Amino acid sequence: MTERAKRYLAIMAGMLLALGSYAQSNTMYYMTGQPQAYYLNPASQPYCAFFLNIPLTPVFLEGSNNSIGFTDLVWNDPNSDAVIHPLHPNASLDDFFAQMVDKNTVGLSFDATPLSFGFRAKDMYFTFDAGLHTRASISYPTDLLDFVIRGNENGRLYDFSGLGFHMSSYMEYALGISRNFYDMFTVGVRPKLLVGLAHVASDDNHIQLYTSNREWRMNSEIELQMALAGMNIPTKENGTFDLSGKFTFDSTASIGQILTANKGFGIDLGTHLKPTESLTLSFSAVDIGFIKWQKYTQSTTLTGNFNFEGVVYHPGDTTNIMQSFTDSLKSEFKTTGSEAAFTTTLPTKLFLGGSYALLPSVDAGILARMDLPYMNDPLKTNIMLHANWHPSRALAFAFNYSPFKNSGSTLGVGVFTRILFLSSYLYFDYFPMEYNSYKFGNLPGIPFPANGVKQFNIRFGTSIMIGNNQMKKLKKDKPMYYSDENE
Amino acid sequence: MKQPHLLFLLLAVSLLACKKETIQMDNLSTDVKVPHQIAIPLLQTSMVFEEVAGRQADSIIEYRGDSILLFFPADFSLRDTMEIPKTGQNLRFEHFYLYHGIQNMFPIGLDIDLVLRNDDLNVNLDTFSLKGKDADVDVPFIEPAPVGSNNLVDESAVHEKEGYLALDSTFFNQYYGDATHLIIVFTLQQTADTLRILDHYNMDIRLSIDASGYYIREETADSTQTTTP
Repeated sequence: MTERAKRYLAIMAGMLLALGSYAQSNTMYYMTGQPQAYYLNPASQPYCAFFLNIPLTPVFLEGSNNSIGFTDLVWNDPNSDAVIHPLHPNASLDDFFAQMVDKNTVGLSFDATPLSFGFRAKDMYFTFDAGLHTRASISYPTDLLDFVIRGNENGRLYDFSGLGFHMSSYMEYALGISRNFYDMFTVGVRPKLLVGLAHVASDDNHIQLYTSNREWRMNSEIELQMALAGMNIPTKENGTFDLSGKFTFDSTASIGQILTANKGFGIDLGTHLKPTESLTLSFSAVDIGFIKWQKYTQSTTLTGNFNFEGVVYHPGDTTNIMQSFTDSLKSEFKTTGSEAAFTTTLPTKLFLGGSYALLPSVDAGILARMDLPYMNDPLKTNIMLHANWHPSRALAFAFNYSPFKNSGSTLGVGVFTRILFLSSYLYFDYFPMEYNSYKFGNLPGIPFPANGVKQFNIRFGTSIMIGNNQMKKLKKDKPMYYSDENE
Repeated sequence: MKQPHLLFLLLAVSLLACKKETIQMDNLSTDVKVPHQIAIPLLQTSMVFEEVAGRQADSIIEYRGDSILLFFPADFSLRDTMEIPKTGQNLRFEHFYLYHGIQNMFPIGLDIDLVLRNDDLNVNLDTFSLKGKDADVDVPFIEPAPVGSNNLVDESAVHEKEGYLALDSTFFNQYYGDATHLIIVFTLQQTADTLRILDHYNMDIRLSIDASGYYIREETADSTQTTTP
């Protein structure tokens, strides 16, 4: 492996380790001629007559971290030659906790599309995708970290409700239909049939702890939801999840029964409006939908209120103090459970943007994005400036910049290339404007984003594109007067 | 196919152009200073003494027809001296409050004094009386039960007394500073010189603490806080 290749690998590893961002690349939004742009706006039409994504691409990987990043954990101390951390005598734990949010979330998403193709039919464009989508996250409240590191304050109420996790995996079969009206108005719709594969979540918890020297008082309600297609989940007689039980495969069910056990429906909607030749206004709503988990389900809720006013000890009493304390604790918590169906929603995103053609091959504009609350993730908004340079239909670059993002300015970078009928693309979002290099000895440094940038995602794929001059041909063939009689 | 190469070149160049600083992880300091606090109820206990040995008459212990009189010498005290370790102390207190609620039926109380001493200079630096508080009035740590004119404990007058013992920065600055020894003095308090003994006694105790401090570990060569051999 050459030094340059090692360098590339180190850079890639660093960026992947600095995972961040939320659901889908933004950079490709205005790459409207490319096949992958319809993932963000179903009104977008590829310029080719037909495309087929090479199986298992496109691939999308993203991570999320809405709180402290690696640069908040180790840094060069300006007062010494040492590299220090938040627990160092020269550091301030107050400052460290001030950087955190009430509910800190770390997430990972992975999308792979085994089958994806599309074709043009006059002013309409049809696409079909069959893809696997997996989302996972864990969240922890700052109060919990504070409690563990700094201990408990006298007379303080700690809120641990942000403690949770979720993992959800489903197949998506999406049929996209887009229609162009007079090159001025394009609408698209992309209904989706969803097949739930697995869902394990405990993200709607309410846990509070009041501590003082007189009493510790805990109120909690913790819920665990599970659905694993084709797997029998071990349960106790009272219907609650049996932690010591074994998961068994349901050998009595056919593959068809398993795959249709947990169905859902979703839809993407979008439009592009061109009031002038140079201006494009766009709106889209992506991943509106739900999955109803009906079979192989389990829901268990643990509720309890507990008061601790000191260990009760009677001299001469032979009862084990810790045993009686544990028994007392257990008696205060009740579990209930059922195999009832439950519904989960998709991570819905809204986009609103405008793009202006500054030059025939250069577009620039603004794009606003809103991620609606989903599982552990709160509502998120982002406003980006974007610019696309497409010197030819075989080569295009896309950039976007988030100057207003709280976690630091970031750059999105994308490139699309095509040689004959084979095209490939690669997009990064939240590309850091600055980075620190972390070195061990004389080994090459590992880059991590500086200035609190904690987000990153990557989308790449390879497609076969046929009929790349189809639009040009259609335009050439278009008569001066157009009516239905001409057909 | 040169295009992917072009992209990687673009990324590499942009990364190199935006490098902020290099962090040499070999210089990572292992020094630690973590503030820590705790406030927790500790213990609820009830000590009951029933059927105290001897013949009983109207709940009073008698011996050969007479009640037994108990005599205490005045200011009976015990003391213990301990050396204050000056190295290897990772946990350092800034304040330590011991809260208590005590219902004491015994006619004997307890006072505790802490004496900080520098043995090298042969001088007692300071004395801290661990008084309890009752409505902002200093009381013994454990207050003796009131005794009536008949030299018997007045059970109806025995109530729970709350209080707290406060060791704050004044104490700990000297404890971790010039003091080399800590002398603990226990002094018994009583409400009468002679007492008649009942056949039953009880004492209810609630204890809780509120303390703060920090955990420190420094590996600097000249530090007295060094914990690494």
